[in-house]
Amino acid sequence: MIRFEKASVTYPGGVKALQDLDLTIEDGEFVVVVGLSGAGKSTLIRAVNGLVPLSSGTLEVNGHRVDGAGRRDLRALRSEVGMIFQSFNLVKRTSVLNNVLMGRLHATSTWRSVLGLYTAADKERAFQALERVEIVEKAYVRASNLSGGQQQRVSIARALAQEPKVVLADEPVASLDPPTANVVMRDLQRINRELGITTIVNLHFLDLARRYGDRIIGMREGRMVFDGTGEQADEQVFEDIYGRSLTAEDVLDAGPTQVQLDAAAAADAESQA
Amino acid sequence: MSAGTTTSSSGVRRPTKPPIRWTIWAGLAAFVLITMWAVFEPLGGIGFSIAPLFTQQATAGFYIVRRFFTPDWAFLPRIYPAFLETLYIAIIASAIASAIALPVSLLASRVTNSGRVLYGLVRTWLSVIRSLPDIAWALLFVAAVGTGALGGIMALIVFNIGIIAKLTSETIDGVDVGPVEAAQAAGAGRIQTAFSAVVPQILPGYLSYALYVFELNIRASLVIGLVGGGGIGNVIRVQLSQFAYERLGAIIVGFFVIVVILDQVSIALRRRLV
Repeated sequence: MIRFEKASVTYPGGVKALQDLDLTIEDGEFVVVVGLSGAGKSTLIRAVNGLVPLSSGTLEVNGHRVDGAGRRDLRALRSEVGMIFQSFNLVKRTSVLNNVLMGRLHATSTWRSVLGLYTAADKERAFQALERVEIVEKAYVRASNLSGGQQQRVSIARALAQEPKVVLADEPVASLDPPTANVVMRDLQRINRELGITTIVNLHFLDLARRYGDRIIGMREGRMVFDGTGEQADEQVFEDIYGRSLTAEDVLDAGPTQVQLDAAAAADAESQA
Repeated sequence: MSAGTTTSSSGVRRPTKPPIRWTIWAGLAAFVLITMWAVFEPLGGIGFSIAPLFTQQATAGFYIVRRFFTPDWAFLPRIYPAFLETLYIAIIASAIASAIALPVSLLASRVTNSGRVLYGLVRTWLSVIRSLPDIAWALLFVAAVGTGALGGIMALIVFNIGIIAKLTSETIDGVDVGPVEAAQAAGAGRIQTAFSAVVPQILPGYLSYALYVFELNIRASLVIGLVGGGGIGNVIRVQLSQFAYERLGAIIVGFFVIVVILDQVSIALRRRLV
């Protein structure tokens, strides 16, 4: 369970990125956070694993107190929280497998990781994670040789290799084309459903948010302005969240039919082969 | 939209080109003044002039130069062991220095070292190391451990750590920080983050710097040997004291050939790294 209480974040420049947030997310939920850029979506997500420290208020994640946590406590917390980034953040110079094994660092002694001596069990976990996102055949390819969509799936595998209780995804599809974005979102959804991992995703495309979000949190100027289901989040709600009327730029695409989705998945599988 | 200002079709004012700042002129003037001060003796300078090149004094020196250009090739085979010693000194010094410099450079970059005190100490130590040239370290170590290869090797190690650590830590500063954040988010420790997210990114640069100091060491061994650090420089010192300019000429040509060959090998290796 993730519980924010009166949580606020003020950046050194004086920007109030998060103001008096009260929010509880139960285990196994799939939550989409929406809002314009600068609304505090990233701050919210990064606060969960302590990448951004709270200025005031409290935050508890899986029984760990995040505010005021020391380095050791943060590492313990982060080992249970996987993270996926907009720009993938892979080490491009090394192999896909080495990137995924980064997810096992929390369970590996320092000297072993420096020498690259991961245990057979950890390698097995890494391969299983790659299989789950259907990219295992690229295990020994350099990360720089993959397409954007493939790189993002490797970064999902890296998060899965941690065997996390929570997955945070900070704008995971913002650098991807529409069909690939849908493939990645469905990967995240499948992982949430099959493994019961609590998933929090930042999105700014409202069609994706409505399609994949079981629960939608709307952020505006650092405050939570909406908390409801995907069905409840109609156009009026989004206009309130964005503080303006909607435009074509707020949707990723016209909304593919299932046929188009399958075609996209097939095309993607083909490009991997 | 007032008259006299340039406006684009969208109505946004275009910025005008800023005037050249007076500080640039002041800097230029200061540069000229300092150069004059260095040149003219009445102002305290060294009285620089190229006139002596054309006087009797200099032409007498051509006698020595002519002896340089008639090398005593028969001498070359006799200094083969000294050449080999130079090569060994360069290899040993660059290997040990590279091994020490990698962790040192991780400590000397903000990206991989967040501890203020240790970072400050390492940076200060590195700038102290770099403030002395190779020959100064050789004088120190030869005085400490006596003449021979050991003093030369130790001098080169210290000198090389300064170079590799500076270049590598600057490469680390420019690294893509995304993977660093990812490693931290995965619960990695500081050393784990450095070795899994940073080292793969800087490895080609680091190896290239290690090869570079190896080239430097071959050249530096000449000077190192002059002050008693072993290798080919030692032979040069002895021949110089006997005014054997023909032998010196042969040594210099031989040295030149070896440096060119090793540089080519190094370039070929580096191309395969990057």
